Amino acid sequence: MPARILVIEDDDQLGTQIVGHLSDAGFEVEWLRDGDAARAVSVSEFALVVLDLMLPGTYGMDLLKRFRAHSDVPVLILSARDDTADKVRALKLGADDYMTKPFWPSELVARVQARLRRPDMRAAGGSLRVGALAIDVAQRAVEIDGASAPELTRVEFDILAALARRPGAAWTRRGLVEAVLDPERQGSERTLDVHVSRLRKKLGPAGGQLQTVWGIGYRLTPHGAEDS
Amino acid sequence: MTLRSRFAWTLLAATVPFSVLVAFGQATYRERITRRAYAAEIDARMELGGREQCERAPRRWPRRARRAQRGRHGRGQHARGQQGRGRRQRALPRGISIFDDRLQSTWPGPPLDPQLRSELEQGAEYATRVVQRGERRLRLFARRMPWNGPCAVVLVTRPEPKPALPWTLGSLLVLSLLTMGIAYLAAGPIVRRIRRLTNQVRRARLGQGVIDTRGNDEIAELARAFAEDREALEAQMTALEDRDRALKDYISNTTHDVMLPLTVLQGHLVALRDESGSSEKNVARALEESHYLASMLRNLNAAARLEAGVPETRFDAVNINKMVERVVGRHEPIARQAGIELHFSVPESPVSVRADLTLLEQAVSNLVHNAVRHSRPEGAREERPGGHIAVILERLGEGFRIEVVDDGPGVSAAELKKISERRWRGEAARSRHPSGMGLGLAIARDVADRHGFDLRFERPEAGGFRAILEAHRSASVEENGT
Repeated sequence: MPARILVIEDDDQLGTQIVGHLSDAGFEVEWLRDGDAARAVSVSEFALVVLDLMLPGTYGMDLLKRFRAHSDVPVLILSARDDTADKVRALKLGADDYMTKPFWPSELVARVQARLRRPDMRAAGGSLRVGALAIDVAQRAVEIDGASAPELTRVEFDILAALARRPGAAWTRRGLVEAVLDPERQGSERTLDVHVSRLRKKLGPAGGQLQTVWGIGYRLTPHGAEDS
Repeated sequence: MTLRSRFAWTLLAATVPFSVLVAFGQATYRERITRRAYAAEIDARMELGGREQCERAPRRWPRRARRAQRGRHGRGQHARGQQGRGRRQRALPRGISIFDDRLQSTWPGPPLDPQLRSELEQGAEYATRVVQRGERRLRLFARRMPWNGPCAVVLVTRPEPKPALPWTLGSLLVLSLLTMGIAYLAAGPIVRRIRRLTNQVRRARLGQGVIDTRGNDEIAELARAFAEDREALEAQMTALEDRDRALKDYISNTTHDVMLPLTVLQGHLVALRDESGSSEKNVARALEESHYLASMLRNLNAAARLEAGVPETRFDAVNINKMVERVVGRHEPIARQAGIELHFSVPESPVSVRADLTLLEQAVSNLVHNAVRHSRPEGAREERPGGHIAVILERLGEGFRIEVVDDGPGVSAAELKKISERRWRGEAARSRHPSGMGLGLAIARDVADRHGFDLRFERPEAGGFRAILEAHRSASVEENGT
């Protein structure tokens, strides 16, 4: 069932575009054009709210305060005034994130998806699932497409688990070294590269999910392909 | 040198030469009076019968003169007179002696002092000098009389009092020093008032207290001039600030008005690209231009706030992880379209730092935008795909480090030096892209300065370009960073 998103935007053209792109991305979108209508709506029914702060007035802020009074639905603010005070105030009132105009449609969609994806990852509990990989942190066991993977060394498992904690996010080599290697004995970035290439081999076809990121280090994506 | 000591030294410098001058003037005057008195005395004595007695019995005349002298001085001189008489037969140490017109001693006695003699030979009316004889100072005064004969020159020898010059000079110098001390003391109240005025003017600049303009002397006049100046300056400042604010608001509002249609335009352009397929080069170019336009507008806004100064900077706890994510998200669509892989990395736990959210985000955004623009040469979109950009956030002790690296053509050493310079904005702002990101980098530099962060640019050995923004100071602020 697609997530329901509430869009509060007074500009016709922009509203049409936002609704169009969010719908294309597979969301069920409801669009309200003015604050009065938004006041009456029950925000708890929505997975996320996109709220345009509109003009410098406190209209949007009032709405945000109202929503926050009885719901912790994620709120994404759209702001045109590049004013620190406005944004800080919105964030302090409980907005989860903001975007300043102009923004790209894909930027908005990506931000909405990221916001909605996060709670799901936590819900997975002791087991992390990334693409074909299922990683049981407590048991230190890895499954590939339901079948158990070849045995991993302690370091290899730690690398995989660290990467899986934040799917799609790149880790710097240094960060990984600090997180999983004993700095006194094997703590070099070259050692890490060796461990990663062994790990990749052991994961077989799912090894493609473990990607090298130029200039940074490694990441684990749900897809084996080039792009995330 | 303080006003007080300058005052005192000036007085000393003025009084010392004056004292010396006065002392010497006085000495000279005394000498002249003395000489006149000698000459007058001799003239008087010779005219009142002295000449006749002398010419009648030149050899005996001095004795009689001496006797006459003793009579004048009374009994107190008696003992000395007898002593003098005892020596009279050999020499005449003092008193009166006479010489003829060839300056030979008429009376058998010592010849005339050679110095006096030569002066008289040159035709002087009199000649005198002070000589030291043992313990005593004696004045020799030789007077040429207006006649010839055995009594043509009369020499008087008398004890000379000690010279008065050193004493006069000394007392005048003491007086000078005294004056200096008095001047130093007298300048006290004036100096105190000037100091008080200085403090008042300084405090007034900070907006504390007012300048005391009471009184009607020169210092009160100065205080009034300061107060008037301050008022005029404040009025001017207020007017300028008002104008500044109005301009900033105008820019802010204009930016706001433009941002909305620009967002819509970008949406339409994306739709157009998606419909026409990625082969449509013109649409891709239009997308880049609109992205550039948006960046320029944001920089305009940031520049207006930076120019407005500290009051426009607002420091709050900023979640740098989220900020980096936002910035990368903003440039990702354009980078992907240009075939550039743009990735970022942030630490697992959020890094939080006190900063101005908008300004810092704009600074980092400019670094990333700069990398996107320069990751490939202009017009080489097809020839050189596959550029890379990495944005890396790392915790740096209590602070953080953001690194933006690309593998584009990079810059020359000369260009690197140029963009690392501080005062570079002027010409950079005028040049349009692709090198026109100068304004963006200059704003990034301003923002870093405003925050006390360190911004530097490097040429990595492997090629490309690297920008590093570092905050060394404490990043540990309350947990729920915005």
